[in-house]
Amino acid sequence: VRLVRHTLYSLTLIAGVIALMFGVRATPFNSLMTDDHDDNRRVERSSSERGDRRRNPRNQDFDPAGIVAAAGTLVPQAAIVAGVAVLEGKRRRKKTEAIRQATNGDPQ
Amino acid sequence: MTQVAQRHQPVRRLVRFDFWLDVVLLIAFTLDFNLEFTGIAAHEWLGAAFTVALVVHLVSHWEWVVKTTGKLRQKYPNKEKLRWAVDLTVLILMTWTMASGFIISVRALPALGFTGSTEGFFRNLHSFGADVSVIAIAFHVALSWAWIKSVGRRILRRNATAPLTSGQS
Repeated sequence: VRLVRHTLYSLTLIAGVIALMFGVRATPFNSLMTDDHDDNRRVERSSSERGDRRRNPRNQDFDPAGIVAAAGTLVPQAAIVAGVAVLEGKRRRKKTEAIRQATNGDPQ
Repeated sequence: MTQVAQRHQPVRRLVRFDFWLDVVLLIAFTLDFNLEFTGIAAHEWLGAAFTVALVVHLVSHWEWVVKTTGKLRQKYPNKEKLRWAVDLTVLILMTWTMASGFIISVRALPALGFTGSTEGFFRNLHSFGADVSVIAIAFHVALSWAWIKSVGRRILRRNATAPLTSGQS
């Protein structure tokens, strides 16, 4: 029962976020996301010319060489994870040191 | 229970499931993000599977969502508040990316008998959402890194020492 309830709540939240997306579409923010108002003309235009990944014919089929690009995605992610880990380590050391000083050398 | 004793506790099945689901989600997102690698058809079907997995991920953490949301106005660790904000950002970005991905689908939707939209708003939102998600997900992982490291170590250590005939699931 709890699982069903949690699933319903989660789906409701997701539906709300999707509704928010359509809400944004109905506001002036729409123009920030749309760089060409004539969508029909946009489709006809060459994709590689615009650099649109989805319309690029080279991306229509599986390309094993693309694994390099996929691995490349992990680089900035790994850098962020490492950066946060370093900051977290520093914060923890500072906290331990503060406790050590407050307890006269016993780090607890 | 001390930290040392906790390290030697067997990992609960739900936690194990959660850990592997997270690993699969991260790999699936990384592959799906790179359209050059997957091609458009695999990109869309993988995205559809990813949507289901993401809902399961949200459902499995629903209690944390409710608990943390309820405590936001109280005295609560800043790290947890930051994590809540990052997770909300990831939820919004991923939901918009996937919803717009379904709307602009050129292979999956037509295969099911529907026609995708070519509206610029959805196409740009899909690209923008995916690009920002890469960064947001990295922060999402980073803020849970202690949990990932701890559970990962326990699972791998247990698998390494468990006899092959133990029949662990």
